[in-house]
Amino acid sequence: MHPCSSSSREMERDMDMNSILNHGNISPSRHQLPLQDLHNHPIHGRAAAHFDPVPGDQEFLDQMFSNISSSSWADLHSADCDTNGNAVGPFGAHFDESAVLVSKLRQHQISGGSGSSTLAKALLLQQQMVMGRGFDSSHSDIPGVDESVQALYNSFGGSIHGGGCGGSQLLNTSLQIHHRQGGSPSFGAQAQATNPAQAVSGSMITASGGGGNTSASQPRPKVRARRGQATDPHSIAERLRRERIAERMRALQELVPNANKTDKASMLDEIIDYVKFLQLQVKVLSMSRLGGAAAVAPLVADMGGGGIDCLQANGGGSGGDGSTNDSLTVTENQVAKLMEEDMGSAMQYLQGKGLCLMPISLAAAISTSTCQPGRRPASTGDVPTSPSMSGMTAQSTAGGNRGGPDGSSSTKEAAASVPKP
Amino acid sequence: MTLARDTAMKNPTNSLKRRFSLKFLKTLVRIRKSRPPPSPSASSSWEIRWRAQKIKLAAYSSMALSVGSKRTWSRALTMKLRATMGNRRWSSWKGSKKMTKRRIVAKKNMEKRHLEKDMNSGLQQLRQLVPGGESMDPRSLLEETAHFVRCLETQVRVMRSIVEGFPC
Repeated sequence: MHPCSSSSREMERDMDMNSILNHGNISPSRHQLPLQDLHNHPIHGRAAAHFDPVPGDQEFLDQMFSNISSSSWADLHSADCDTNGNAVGPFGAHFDESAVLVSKLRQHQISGGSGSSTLAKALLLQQQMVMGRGFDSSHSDIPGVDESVQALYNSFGGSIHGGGCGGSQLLNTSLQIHHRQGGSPSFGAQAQATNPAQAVSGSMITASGGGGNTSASQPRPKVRARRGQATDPHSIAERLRRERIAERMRALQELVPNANKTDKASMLDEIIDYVKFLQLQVKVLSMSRLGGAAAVAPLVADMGGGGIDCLQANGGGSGGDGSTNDSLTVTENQVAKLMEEDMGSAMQYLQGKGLCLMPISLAAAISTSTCQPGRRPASTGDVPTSPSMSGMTAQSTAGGNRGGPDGSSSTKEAAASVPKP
Repeated sequence: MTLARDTAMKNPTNSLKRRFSLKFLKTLVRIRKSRPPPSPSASSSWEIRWRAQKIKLAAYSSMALSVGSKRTWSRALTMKLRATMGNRRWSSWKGSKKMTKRRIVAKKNMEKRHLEKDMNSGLQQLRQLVPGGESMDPRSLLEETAHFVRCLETQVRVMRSIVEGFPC
């Protein structure tokens, strides 16, 4: 029930953050104090406990969410791509990116991100730390900040690890990055420090959101290995679920006559088409029972010539209601037009409608073979006025349907109702 | 298709075919009996269509009845058919309550899990096609579809053989 519990916490946190966001801006000069406050409040247990609005924390969070601009996520991703030490831009960009991170975090929580909220929060704080460091560089109080940041991250790391995400190690590496930079007040170094951090954060968020897909190749191999650990419980559940779905899809695929499994989506479309086709067949068969070409006419007029074209009148055999089918003639004309241009496209058009071409002799042979001896085959009896159409039952054409285009014969026949191979 | 595999996959077997055929033929006989005296072929298209609709309903209902209540789609189909036929005894309000609750849960699950968009739309279409599919999670939906497809195939085969087998 892990996702359920985390989702409830996410809702809480959502409301908290929303209320916080509504507060006014607070001057950034109060960076240090809340940092120390947060350090003094030991953070342990589940992540949700951290972010309950304690007075000191609230001010801190206010600062975090101040100056939120609405740059796009793409900016952050481009920051990811620039991970090889290129400064993303002026320091103001960092603010924007953290703000973007904040907004993204909020959206992520709203959409019910799977337990990544704690991690995202941690990353958010990390961003703020970096920004704080940037701001405070002039104050030259960096060592103190560093210590507090270090302690903060250690506690965070412990808690998050308890929470099930392995992001602590991630944070530690990023923290080490910061420290490797020597705490120098140079913006460039911090930019470099933030870039891998941002890349990592972006990749972490996308990874936790996307269930462990290989979204980021830009983080270092160390991070990639840890990401596998980090999203373990969720990605395992995801994987299991996908496997089960894939198993059912495979079973369905065996049923449906089209066997080439390219991917899930196309397979699903095939299945849908097949179900529609079967339902259509039932409908047509229920019509045919009533007999008479008159029964067929309204059916075909409804369908506009798509799918099953005409059905042999078994029950009635009553003749040629010549009202056959404007739709059929329309199809005919179109096929004739296509045939003038290109034979292949004509065949494709016919196949799209579930028809195929076959010589008249073959069609006649098929119809006589499937008719009962006592029954007049419909093709001889009620031959429609246009000689190029003949009606066949669905089943009879299923057998002998591969009549390819007969280039030699001048008149061609279209046979009806090919079940899609 | 071995019997073991069928039972493992919960697929319709030959007994289903027999059951369906029997029920369907009985329904057909009943329809034919209730048919007006055989009019000439030039019967109104409306009447023909209406009769075709009845036959189709008969096919589906006999299929659903022979499957029984083992499957979600058969249950849903049965209830829908009974509602269509205006039978108050089997009013489906109870069933629909269950359905809505399940539908809400299913929707929540759908939001939580990040399904791909194209697969989602495909699943949506499947839900509309398969009766009773609106309130099922993807996995059981696919299973129901498999069973439904097999039953439809059986239905089509039986109907075809009936059509083919009878002289005009």
